[in-house]
Amino acid sequence: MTSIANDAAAGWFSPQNRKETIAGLLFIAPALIGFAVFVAGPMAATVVLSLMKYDLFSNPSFVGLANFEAMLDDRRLWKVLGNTAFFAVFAVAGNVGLGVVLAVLLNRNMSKTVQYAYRAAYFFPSLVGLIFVAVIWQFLFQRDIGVINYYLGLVGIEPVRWLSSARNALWSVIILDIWKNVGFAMLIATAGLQSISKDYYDAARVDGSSSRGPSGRLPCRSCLRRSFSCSP
Amino acid sequence: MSMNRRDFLTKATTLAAAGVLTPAMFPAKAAQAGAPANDTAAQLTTYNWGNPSEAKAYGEAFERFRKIYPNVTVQDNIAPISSWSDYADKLVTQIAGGNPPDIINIAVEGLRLAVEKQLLMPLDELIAADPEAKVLVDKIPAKLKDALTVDGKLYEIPNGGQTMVIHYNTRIFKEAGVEPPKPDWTWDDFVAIAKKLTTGEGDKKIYGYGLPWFNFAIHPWYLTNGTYPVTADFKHSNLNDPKIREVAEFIHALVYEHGVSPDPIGLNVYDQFAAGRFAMVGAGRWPVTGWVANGFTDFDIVPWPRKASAETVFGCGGWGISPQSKNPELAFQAIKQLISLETVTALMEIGQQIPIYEEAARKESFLSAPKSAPVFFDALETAKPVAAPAFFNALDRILGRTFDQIITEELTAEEALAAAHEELEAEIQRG
Repeated sequence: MTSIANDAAAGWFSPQNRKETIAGLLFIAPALIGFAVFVAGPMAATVVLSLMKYDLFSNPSFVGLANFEAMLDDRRLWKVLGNTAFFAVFAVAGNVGLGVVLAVLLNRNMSKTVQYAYRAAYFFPSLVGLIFVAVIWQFLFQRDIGVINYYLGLVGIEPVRWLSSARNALWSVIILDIWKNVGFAMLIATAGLQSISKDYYDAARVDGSSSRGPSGRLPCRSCLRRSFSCSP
Repeated sequence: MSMNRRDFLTKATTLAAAGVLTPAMFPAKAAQAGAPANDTAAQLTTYNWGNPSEAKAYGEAFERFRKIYPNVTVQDNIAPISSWSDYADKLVTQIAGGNPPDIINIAVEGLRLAVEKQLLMPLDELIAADPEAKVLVDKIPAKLKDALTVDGKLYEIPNGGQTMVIHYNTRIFKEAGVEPPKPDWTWDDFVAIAKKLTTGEGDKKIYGYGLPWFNFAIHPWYLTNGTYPVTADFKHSNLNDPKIREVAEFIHALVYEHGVSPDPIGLNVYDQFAAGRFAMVGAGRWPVTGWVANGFTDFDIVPWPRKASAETVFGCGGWGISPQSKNPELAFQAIKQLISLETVTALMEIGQQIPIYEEAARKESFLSAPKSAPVFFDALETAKPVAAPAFFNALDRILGRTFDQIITEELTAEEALAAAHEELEAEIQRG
């Protein structure tokens, strides 16, 4: 056993292998240096600074776990974490789910022009800057003079406090997020659908499958697999 | 051809006597006694804010400065601004990163924080040593200078201000047969007028008052109720003052009891005021140019309605110098150009600011709109600066959230302000 290990070590440091090792290390050096400088270093500094009191001007002083105590004492912490989790679950589910549905609908037989027009329309919000999206939706969601409540009022629905109710505001932000990002999810799902060979559909059809059977599930599986790996 | 000093003076005097020596022939005015020599070579950097038109006016001021100091370059860094807290944070980060600017333009909101962190140096000695600067600074209203003074030292020379007044739509008042408000009107008068002017339904509805939803715009209600969000020494929270609660309840009532204001969340009150959806709105001078440029001129202004006091709020910005500047005297000479009547007038004409000199505020370009434009400048007499302690960032953040909780009825005014007071005091203790 020892002999095998020694042989391996000798081979590793043989002139031929040493060259290859050095070349390999040089190839990965830029990535390693980048990781050390921009990821590992700041992460380590964050851990160290989390134990300090530091205002950027005076020298940092060690305070142990006091910063963590202050954070855990903040009664808003759990609410913030809860809101973040709620948002993450529903926004991701909405984006991916609706994105897949749109992709499947637009992958059906229809004129290319209509297909491109729909795709562009659904994808367009992804290109709009978040600040503009926020301004537009603030106006749409406004309780008293907003557009959404105006139309709801026409059909006899009382004004909804989209932004000025703690319960509704989170849903309003999720709706906004889905509107903005669903086009991107749709695009990823469309790429998944288009990567499926036509042969699979033909084979499924020959086997007597309907759109609700295996040939219908095939595209869904494919685009879901892509969407979950690339969800916005 | 060489020319000695005596020859030059002789010829210059002759030319001047002949009336042909114009200022344009002497663009490089001599530096003041005690100021750096005209041939000093250096680079000055700024930490500045403003829109492109204001940046152009600053650029012209720096060009005038460079005629006196041709070997000095000025890099005017205009930082994007979303809130004063954010602006001050960026400055702190820049200086901590070892890149201190020479000239700093920061509003009163960030002043005490900047002084506490030693980001600004006192300017009193530089002013005292420069007669030209002294003349200019003496013309600035004391209220503005006091706002930028900490412990008896002036840390910034004011460069413009805002006073909060009520803007009202003259057409809506006329159509409703309501007399314009009197300058000494009260909160009760305000509510009564707002009720009369709240009319219509659906997309034809007009509200009496559009409630601007940020800290500076809520300040006039505190002040006219005889209170302030922090203690007089700027060291502690005053959010547990019952008069602050009265203000919060009054604002809540405007929306839910009197129904004269729409829910302020997500509302651009200034666009809606110009669109004729509100009869009144609270603002400084900043929206005026935009309104006029877009053809909306049916408005006038009146002082803020009073209750316990007639004080409204004012905010101002100023030019300061970093103590880490390698060229503080040069920076001060550049600031002199920034506070010249020419620059101040140019900035006033761009339309955002109330000028620091009464002379500029009496110019036709300032008085052209609205009809009662002098009220902007005159309101300074009965105004108090926005509450800007060293912990302004925390105060601004906490007050914003607290008023959101009140207006969304998540908490009552009493509950929200008690929690806010406690939180702010804890932040102050933590330092």
